[in-house]
Amino acid sequence: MDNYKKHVPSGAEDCLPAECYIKRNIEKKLRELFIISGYDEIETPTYEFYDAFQSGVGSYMQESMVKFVDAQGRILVLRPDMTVPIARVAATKLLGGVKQLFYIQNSFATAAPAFGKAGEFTQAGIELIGESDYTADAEVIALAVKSLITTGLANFTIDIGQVAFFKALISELKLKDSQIDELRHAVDSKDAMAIEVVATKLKLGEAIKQKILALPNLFGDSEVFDKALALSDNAQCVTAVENLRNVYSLLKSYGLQKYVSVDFSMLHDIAYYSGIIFRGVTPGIGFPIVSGGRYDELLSKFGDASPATGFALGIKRIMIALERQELLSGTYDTFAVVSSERSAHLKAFEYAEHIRESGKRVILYSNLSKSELTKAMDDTGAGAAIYFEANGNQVVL
Amino acid sequence: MQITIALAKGRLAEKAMVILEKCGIECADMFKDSRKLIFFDEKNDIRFIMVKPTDVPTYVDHGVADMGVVGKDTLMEAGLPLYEMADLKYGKCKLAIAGYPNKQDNSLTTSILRVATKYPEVAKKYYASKGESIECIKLNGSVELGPLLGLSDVILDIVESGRTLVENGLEVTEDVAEVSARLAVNRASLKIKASVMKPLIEKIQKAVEES
Repeated sequence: MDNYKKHVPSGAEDCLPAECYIKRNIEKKLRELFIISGYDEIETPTYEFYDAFQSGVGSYMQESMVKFVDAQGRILVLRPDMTVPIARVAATKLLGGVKQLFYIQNSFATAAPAFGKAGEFTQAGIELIGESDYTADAEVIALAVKSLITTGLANFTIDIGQVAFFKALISELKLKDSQIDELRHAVDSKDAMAIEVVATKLKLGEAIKQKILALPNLFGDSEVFDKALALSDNAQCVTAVENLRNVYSLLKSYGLQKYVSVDFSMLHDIAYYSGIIFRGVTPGIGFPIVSGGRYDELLSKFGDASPATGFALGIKRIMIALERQELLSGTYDTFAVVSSERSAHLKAFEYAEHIRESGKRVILYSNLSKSELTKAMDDTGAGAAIYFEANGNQVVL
Repeated sequence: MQITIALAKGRLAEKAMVILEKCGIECADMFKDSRKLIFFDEKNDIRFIMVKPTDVPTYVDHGVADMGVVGKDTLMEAGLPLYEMADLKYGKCKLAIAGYPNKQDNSLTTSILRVATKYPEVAKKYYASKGESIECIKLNGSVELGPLLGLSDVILDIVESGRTLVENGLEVTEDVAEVSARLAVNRASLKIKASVMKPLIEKIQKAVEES
């Protein structure tokens, strides 16, 4: 057992001071942005009953959740994301009206440890509950764009899709959930060959197969809406396309056109999404840095029929992207480093406390020599080095 | 805007280049110096990296390569969220289950099918979809020895002509999937570098159709 004492379990990570400073700084900026945007912060427990995340609710992969058992033998999980816990809270404890909630908390997964995919990861996000209008979708996407800009990123794309279009397109086929999932996966991978295979297996007609095969190339700008409309005159499909067109043109009016694009074959893994969904990508990292969308049926699993939409930012992924784009910098702003000979310690302490009262950062070292203190000033980037000699003289180095 | 394409070293890379050359991409250096791992097509601003076939999906998943050419079998085993945007229609073969044609399962001590394979993930998924439990035995080559020596009941492997199977007294009992070379694309790259990636992918799709 002794072998493990210097190590952390796979998937776990220490956040060392230089990284932690930047992480907290990003979190602070996001917290301020969410607050001025009208959102209230919420915390939920780190662990919850497995039932809340069971299939049919969140449809998480059972094997990707970290589970343990409580004293009564019930199964608990470390929360795999924040949307389901917030839906549970909103549907049971914050009933009625519009709720705007945000969080900056860690979620957990048993995921095989890989770059950008840790077992414990910080998410910052918002949930807008009780609004079903397309203007709410646009507003939430606009806030996602603003959040990414706030973190320091400039070059990113938010891809917007519409799950309701796909769901309506295949609704007449009366497929089972597992079959829909197979088809959804093939479309989401833009894999024409796999769509063919699944279509043959499910004995789909030629007409519907061609429509589904058209989805992977339905991405780009406004030109894709008419192409999507040409695929189906089913009323729900038309509503879904018009809904996305409204959101897209509103985002354009907000002046955010350069940040957004449309993709009808984007169909997130998580089954609770019901309408507009979106995913943000940036150079330097192959994984989405933000992901979100509308989940109008999720709250009803907890007994409240409120519609809702929201998004979550992956803080670590954003930091990796910033670092690769050479935009990651910053450290503590230290006003001064202070030291003294032992006999003058009280002087040095009082001086440090005096500066600290004005809210400035001072690092006090015990018994450094003058040259050691000068080095400490260079290492920390402090603005000054103050030394107190044995006779109480204050020397600026 | 530079894009990076990951190719599997060897024969597969040569065949991929045949298609890419039809799309106006040139890289004459590639087959001159076999030790180099990075090549450039300066004219089209494309960088090629030569990697082990099984690593192609990893490079593309992490976004250090924007796209890659690799066999469907490797993609299935990797199970990563990539866009699979073209079937390049070469390197055709299939993944199949093979075993002794007439051998009855007469083992008293184990009721679980033992499958020897280079593709444990594919095997687990395939049998899970059939509702069957298996014991997977991971091998790195000469998989046919599994049933021969009693290590496993069947094998799941690539079958091209089927000659190796016949020579070892085995026979295909089930087909698992059709395999050919595919164009795997990083999800973020497709959108961020859309102005370069989209036309190139369309050219590749066209070149394959025409040939």
